[in-house]
Amino acid sequence: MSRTEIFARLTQVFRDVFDDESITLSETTTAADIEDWDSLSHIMLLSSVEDEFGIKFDMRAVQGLQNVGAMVDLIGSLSA
Amino acid sequence: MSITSLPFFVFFALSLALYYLLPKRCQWGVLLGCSLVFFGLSSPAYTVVYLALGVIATALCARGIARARENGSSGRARAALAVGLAVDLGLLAVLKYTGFFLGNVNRVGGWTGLWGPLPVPDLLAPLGISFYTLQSVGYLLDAYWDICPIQPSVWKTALFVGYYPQLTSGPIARYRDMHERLYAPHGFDSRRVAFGLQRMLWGIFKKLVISARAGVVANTVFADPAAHPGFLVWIGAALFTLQLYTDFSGCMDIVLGISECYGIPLPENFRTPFFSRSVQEFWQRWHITLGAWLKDYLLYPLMRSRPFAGLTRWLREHVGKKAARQLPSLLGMLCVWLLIGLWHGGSWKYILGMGLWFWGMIAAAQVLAPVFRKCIRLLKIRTDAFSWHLFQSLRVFVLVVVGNVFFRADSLSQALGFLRAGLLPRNPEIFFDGSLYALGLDRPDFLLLMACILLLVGVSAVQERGSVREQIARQNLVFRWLIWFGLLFGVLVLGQYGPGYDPAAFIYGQF
Repeated sequence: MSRTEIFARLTQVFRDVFDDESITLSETTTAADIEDWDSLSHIMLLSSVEDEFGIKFDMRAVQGLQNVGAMVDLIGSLSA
Repeated sequence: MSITSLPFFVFFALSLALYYLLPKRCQWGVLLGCSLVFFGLSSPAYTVVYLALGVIATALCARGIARARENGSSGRARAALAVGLAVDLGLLAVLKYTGFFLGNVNRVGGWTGLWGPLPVPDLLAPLGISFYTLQSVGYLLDAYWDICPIQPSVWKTALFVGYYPQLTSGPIARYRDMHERLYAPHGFDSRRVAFGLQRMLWGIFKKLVISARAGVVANTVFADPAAHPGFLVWIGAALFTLQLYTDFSGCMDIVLGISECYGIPLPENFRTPFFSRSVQEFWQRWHITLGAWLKDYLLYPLMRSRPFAGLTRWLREHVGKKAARQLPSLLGMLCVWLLIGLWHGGSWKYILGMGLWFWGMIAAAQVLAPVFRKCIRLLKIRTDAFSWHLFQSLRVFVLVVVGNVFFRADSLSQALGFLRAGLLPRNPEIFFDGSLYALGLDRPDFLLLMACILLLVGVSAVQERGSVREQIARQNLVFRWLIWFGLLFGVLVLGQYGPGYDPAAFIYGQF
């Protein structure tokens, strides 16, 4: 799966989880850039991402996520 | 041994002298020895067996997890984790909740007549079991998830689990944050020790001057709510919340101050919680380490579990995106809140009163958020104004006071009776006719308590901008000494040891 494709599907997951169709993601997007991205919605987000891509994050990988770019890298490596 | 008693201060001074006078490689051993002595002086000697059992199981199972991972056997790692969790949580369940469980079994037996009363054993749990068990469980799960190093030494694991400053009331620390600080050598740093002592002093002031006085009024009102109706009930409830806050946060100031003297910073447990704008934010600023623990080790795995993922998918397909977003998180939070209630003690007043009340408030805020947003837009409320923040904080305070009635009352029915007594208060005259000075504190003591509340709010406001001690340290010498000696004399002269006050009892020490 290409990074562009991952970004497109991930953007839709973000829009569903945060109920905001105006969300656009970049490599450097972080929780500070999305108003409702708190610890609880983060858990919902990870579950939805796992569901969308048919993958399972392990805790070690999740702990290291710094921004959306890192999340895309992780999704790419797990779904390869 | 209470951490505000004279014997404790002597013990602490001796431990500090040993810690810095002996070779640095012995420092962690000194702390382990001190922890054993502290435990021995504070808890019946035989309960150390339970603590030892938990420590040994935690240390061996963590090592088992590491070995299994090296051999690539995930099944063995899972088995080692299961054994460790079973021992740690089993000890907690048996020692703390047997009475609650058998009490309910007997109640059901009495209602149905199917069985007679079962004997309820009088088991004594070791000091701080609710705190150190969560710390051990967190360590085992982190080890299993491979997000923390493994401690090969059973003795060093024992220090992590039983480190005496945090043993009685937390904070609940993580091994991955603690291991470098706990076992590392620390040189004597006069500034750090002075800062630690200053923090201890502020904690002692909160406990002995503020909490003890607020507790006298709360005890009077809660002892006989029917005799203190209307506004008096609410004054008692509000002062119990103040007592709880100054007791627990004062205890944390002492604990963190002690640990700072050893050069081992512990995680903060409070961040001016009464400045919160919502109940959810309040719980992110009150007992922070318990909330973070439950989020990481319970809520997170629960919501990522197969049943929850399945529920989310089903809701999305059959009900809608909004329900799929909200219902699983509300259900997950309900589990967490019921467990918070249970963790506070084996009693329905904690589970239903505290747990359900706060969950209900958070759930209502989440579900009704669009309605509130619409009201704010319609009424053209400026949400960045101080007045709005003040209103939000007062609203949080009232909701917390109601929840704490369940915490303080002897039973669920007494809590409900207490709230009934305060319903529709019609006695505003109590604020002017001297009734306030008949609640256990005379006029000067009551006015002193009010002055202390103002001081507390002022200090909290300064805390919002950064470390108070750092800000004081930047002042001139005379002003600095005036503050710290003033506080010391405040404790010595105004420290309350009168009726209704037990110097050995920190409220959270019972957990």
